[in-house]
Amino acid sequence: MQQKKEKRFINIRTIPYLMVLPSISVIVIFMFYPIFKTFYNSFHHYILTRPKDYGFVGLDNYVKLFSDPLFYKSLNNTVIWTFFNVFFQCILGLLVALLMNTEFKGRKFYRMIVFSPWAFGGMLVALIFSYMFTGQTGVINDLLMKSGLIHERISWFSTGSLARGTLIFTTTWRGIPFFAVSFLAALQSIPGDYYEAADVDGANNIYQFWRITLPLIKNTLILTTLLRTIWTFNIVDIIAGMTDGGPNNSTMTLPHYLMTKFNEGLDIGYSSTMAAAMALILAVFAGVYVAAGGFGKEGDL
Amino acid sequence: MSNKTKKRLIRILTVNIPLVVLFIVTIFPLYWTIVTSLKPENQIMKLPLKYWPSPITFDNYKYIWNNMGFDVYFFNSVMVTVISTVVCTVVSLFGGYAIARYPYKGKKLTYLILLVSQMFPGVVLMIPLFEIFKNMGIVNSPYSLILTYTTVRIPFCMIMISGFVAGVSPALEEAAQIDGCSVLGAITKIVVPTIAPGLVAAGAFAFVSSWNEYVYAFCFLSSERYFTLPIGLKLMKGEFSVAYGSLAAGCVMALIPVILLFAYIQKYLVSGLSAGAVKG
Repeated sequence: MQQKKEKRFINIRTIPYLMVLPSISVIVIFMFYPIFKTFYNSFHHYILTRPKDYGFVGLDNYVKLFSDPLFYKSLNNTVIWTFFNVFFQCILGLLVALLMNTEFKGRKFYRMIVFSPWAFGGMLVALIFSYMFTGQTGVINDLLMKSGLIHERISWFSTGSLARGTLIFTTTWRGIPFFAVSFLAALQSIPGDYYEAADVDGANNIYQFWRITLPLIKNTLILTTLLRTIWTFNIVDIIAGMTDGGPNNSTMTLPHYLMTKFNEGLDIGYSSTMAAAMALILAVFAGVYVAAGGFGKEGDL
Repeated sequence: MSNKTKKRLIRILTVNIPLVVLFIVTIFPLYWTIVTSLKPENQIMKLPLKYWPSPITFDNYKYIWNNMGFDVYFFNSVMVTVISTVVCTVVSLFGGYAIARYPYKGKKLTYLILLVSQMFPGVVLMIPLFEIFKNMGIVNSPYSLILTYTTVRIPFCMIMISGFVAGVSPALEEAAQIDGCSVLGAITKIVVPTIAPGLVAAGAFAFVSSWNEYVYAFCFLSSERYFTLPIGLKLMKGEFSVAYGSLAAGCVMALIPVILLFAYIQKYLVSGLSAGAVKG
């Protein structure tokens, strides 16, 4: 028996490696290697259409990047965009999760409806909402006029702050389910007798929320806001579909700038520098955020 | 006011009313898109707005399908998404099975790779991937998208599937293997049927996110015959800023497959999250 096992070409020890080999190798080739390549290219002068000019340039691209006014403008826009999106989505997502955690009739069907924006693609959401927010014949203006909240139609994409607000509203609509689902999963894992005990002690609902619910979902809160920050930071499709960075670059975020710049001139060197800067900003943010939030300590579920 | 009526009032204010508001806010954009897609194009930009289409027409659908290239875009989207979803699910099944069942050296590293790669920003990968596919000679072809979509969905699918496998007792597979069944046989004949709903859910997640993907498709593809739906839709907005009936019809068309799948996977959303994280 022992002999037979050794003679087999595939023995029991190599099986798990063979099984993870396909997935890990494509991840390494098409995800890890590209990250390395981004940093590598950022030190080179490299324009795809001019292969003869290729060469090592040290930090030249970085110097150019840090003196690019549009880089600072889009970085600033990205911070505003990411912060407000994550903030609103998180608060509203938590409220939705608390609501879904109560008992009511038709909860399953309702849950399906409320989580459905998650299935809408970014480009779809962008196009649908930009149509609804059209100035003259948009349905949002029509509804607001009918309800008497406004007396003149607003042209939602005319100024920077209005366009930004409209974009954030749209993205929040789409992003709420993600938070709601995460929080709901965390809420459902809190044992019911915690609340019963609190009820016996006469603690009211608000007190229970701050003292029981919030500490117990803290890890979920940190993890989901972190993931959402990274993803929101990287959103391109909604911006491209609604404003394409306008008016006057006031909704241009870093990823959108990067994509536009890359498609304009196929300047791999400079675009990679921007990508590398973005990756570094996100990595530093993630590290600081997790450390400051005390992820993993106490209140673990 | 008696205590009972007070309690009921609080419930109406904190539960019933928010539920109704949330329902309307969620469903209205979908309702409005469908209504718009069924209106004749000349009626859409006319005031006062009609909240119900009359007469109902399917002209917008016919128009984009026959004249705007949506037959091609739809086919491309289906092809790219189905192939990458199937490959991703199969590869993730074996990978997920290995991390759930075998105590091998380097398992922690596997986990680390999966977790870290989930956080990689798509835009950062875009340029080097473009370069790689350019060198492989497949940049302007569906293969570049299939490869990319398959790879970037694997981390999530693999973690999720390994969660499903770990939830099933290994006793049955062990018994089968003692009876002379190979590992491959045990997986296809015993594991796959047991975790089938989970496999479909993992595949559906991959499907939905690939179906909606825009950035890679926009960067890699330059020939219109390879365009996928999100690109086709964006193109319509640029070219015809007023053809909203067609645009709405295109959106509904792109939504139908994902909504159908979503109805199936929404019950896995919560459990999927505890296994990994839902991207999107």
